[in-house]
Amino acid sequence: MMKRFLLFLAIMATLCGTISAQNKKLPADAKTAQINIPGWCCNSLNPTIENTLAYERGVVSWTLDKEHKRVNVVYRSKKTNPDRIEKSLSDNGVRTEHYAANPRAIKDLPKCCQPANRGEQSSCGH
Amino acid sequence: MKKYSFLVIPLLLLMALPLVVEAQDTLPKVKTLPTFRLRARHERSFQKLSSVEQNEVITADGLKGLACCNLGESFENSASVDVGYSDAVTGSRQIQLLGLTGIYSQMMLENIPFLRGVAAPYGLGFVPGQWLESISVSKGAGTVKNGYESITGTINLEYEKPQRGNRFSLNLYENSDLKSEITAKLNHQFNDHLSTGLLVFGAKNMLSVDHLGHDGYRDFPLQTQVNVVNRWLYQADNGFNSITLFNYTYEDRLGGDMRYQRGDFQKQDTLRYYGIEGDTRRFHFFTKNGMPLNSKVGFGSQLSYSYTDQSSIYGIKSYNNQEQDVYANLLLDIETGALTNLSCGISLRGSSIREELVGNPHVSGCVIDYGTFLSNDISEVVPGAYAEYTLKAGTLFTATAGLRYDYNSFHSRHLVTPRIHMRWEPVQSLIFRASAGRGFRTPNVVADNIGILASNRNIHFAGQVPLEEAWNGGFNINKNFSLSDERKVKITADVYHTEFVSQLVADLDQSATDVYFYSLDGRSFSTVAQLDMSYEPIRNFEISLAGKLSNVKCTYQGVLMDKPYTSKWRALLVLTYHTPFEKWRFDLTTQLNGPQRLPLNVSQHNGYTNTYIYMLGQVTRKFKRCELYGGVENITNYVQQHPIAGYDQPFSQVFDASVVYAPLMGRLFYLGFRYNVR
Repeated sequence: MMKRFLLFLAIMATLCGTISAQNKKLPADAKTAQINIPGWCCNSLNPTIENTLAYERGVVSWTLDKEHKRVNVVYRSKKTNPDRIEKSLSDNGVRTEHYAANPRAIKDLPKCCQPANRGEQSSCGH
Repeated sequence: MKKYSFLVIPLLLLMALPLVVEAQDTLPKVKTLPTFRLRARHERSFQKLSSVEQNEVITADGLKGLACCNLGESFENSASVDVGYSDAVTGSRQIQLLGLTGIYSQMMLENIPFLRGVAAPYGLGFVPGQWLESISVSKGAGTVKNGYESITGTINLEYEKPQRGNRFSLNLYENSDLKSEITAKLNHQFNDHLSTGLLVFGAKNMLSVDHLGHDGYRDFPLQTQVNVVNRWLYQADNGFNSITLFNYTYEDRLGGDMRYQRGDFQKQDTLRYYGIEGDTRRFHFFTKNGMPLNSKVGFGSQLSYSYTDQSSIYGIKSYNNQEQDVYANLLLDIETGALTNLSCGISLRGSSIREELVGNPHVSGCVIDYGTFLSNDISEVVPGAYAEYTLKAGTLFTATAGLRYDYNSFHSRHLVTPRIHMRWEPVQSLIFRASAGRGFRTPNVVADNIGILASNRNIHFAGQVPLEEAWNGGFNINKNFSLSDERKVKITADVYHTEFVSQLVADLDQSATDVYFYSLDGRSFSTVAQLDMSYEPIRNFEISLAGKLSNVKCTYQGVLMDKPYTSKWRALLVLTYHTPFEKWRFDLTTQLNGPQRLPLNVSQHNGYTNTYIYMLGQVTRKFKRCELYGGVENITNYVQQHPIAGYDQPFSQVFDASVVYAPLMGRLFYLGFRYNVR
């Protein structure tokens, strides 16, 4: 029983190690892309955008430009491209310049953000 | 079914009514049926502050931090609900709410009564945890809209909704005892109006384990379960809303002595080993239809049918039961003024339960009388009508008063059920609540006490099945405040008291080899006080602390004694931490269980049990489309040392596997994988 437990701990430790090793400096293939998100209406949408980018492969960091309704993404060109990042945002309910938002995902957005991402008049006045 | 066929036609007509109304009415969309929306996604459990009843909600996110294979394992992080094994051989679990067994609380699936009667003892195993979108636990007498049965509270389950869930999700689970589980969920939206969902669950337990090695009995039975749900949802532009669900469950289990093979029970004179066999087939169907009639009046209808057939073998006894249940409820919701609301309706329940307990005539040298021990046939038709009046003055004050009348054909009694709830919020986020009400229930002699079948106690039951009746009342205070930005402190305190007027008592204390069933003569009550606190000392790290004191007593042969298998107190500590965006998540739960009274029994331990700790923990790693999780149950490896008395003489009177107060399974590791397609 104890052996099994130690083995389990060892696996967990290895996993944790792998993950922490990933936190390093800006890679050589880093590039920046601007992705327009006309579906952005208010700050309530930010968690959705951030959660999407956080889990997107190859995304290094991002800043949200609320004034121009766009997100500036630093990504690794060997791993992904701006189109793929844009697509993943639309998959999660965010309307982008080139892609309509996934209707199922729109339903999970905060209520006030839904019309803007459906392409309708925004209900939060933005 | 034949018995109730006369009900079906009028019910179908009633169900069709909203369709007719819909055709005549082309009103604009004013009101939709109240649907439940989860709050912030990451919240694991919360107190529903706006509700007039004390309502604790466990979300799907909260359940993901536990290895909840089924509903019975979903309450580990809640101090309100206690979960224990009913015996040492079948692996079935039972819950307790407010110190009384789960049979006194009302289980509901999407607000329709569910898992009643004989389906209750194994029923917790028929609800896969991965299907659940939320569980809400309300303490105290519930609303009159759902019948007279809830005494200590209601537990409402919500399955994943086809219009909101992922298009496809898959969950695989495997533990160190080789229990495998697979859950698949498919949701499809045909258009804006029609959507459907398919939930599939399969589980197989392939390894016979007796990890202590004391007795050669399986700690957990070999088990196969197949469980399928298909549901349809239709939403029309005019507000008409329809939900229909079909559920089929099949389960078989084989437990007891490792040498026992399936079918040994039937073999004459060769039955040497103690075996457990169980087969369950269950079908459940419901349809809910509702629509606004005009801007002030809403109409809703509910119809459900369930069929349960269980056959089981416990050593030298075979226990079979069948249940059929038809339930219909029509509800009108009227806004009578700016602050007031009236709900009224009629309901009809027809239920037929057959229980049969038979001894095996083939076993010689057995101490138990042969032949039929007990046969119980309960058919009841219960028509009823109810009204509930709500006064709501903004967020400051809400009160509901409900009254229902029912006629129970089996007991030939007219039943009046009053219920009252109040909620008062004098200053923001300080809430006082009070509730009181009466409840009734028809007991099932064996199914309600299924654990005793795992002993060779002689069952003595004479006379009529009484109608159980109880009053319940309670208070609750809820206070939320912030110490600084985002560091919220939540405190909830509550006290509830349940007093039985009549009850079917199972007396295990007269003799170690007998159980006597009789009607309560004297007092039987339960008083439970609970305190819950949660605090976030560092960002993303949350501590929840809860404590509960119970005083549950019942009169046995004129002596007021503690009810057996009920913890005198219980404490719970839940620690959760997650990294930003929940990429990593850590959950650790510690339960401290106080002493329980053991009834008179053939094994040596008697009196009060020791306090013990039960710990479980899980680590979850989330990726873009999938999640990987691993965890340990029963980290401290505390187990009951000799749960089966007389294991080597299973057909004698010294055999007893019903004395269970602590975990039976030792430390257990598990790994799981979830995959989602949006």
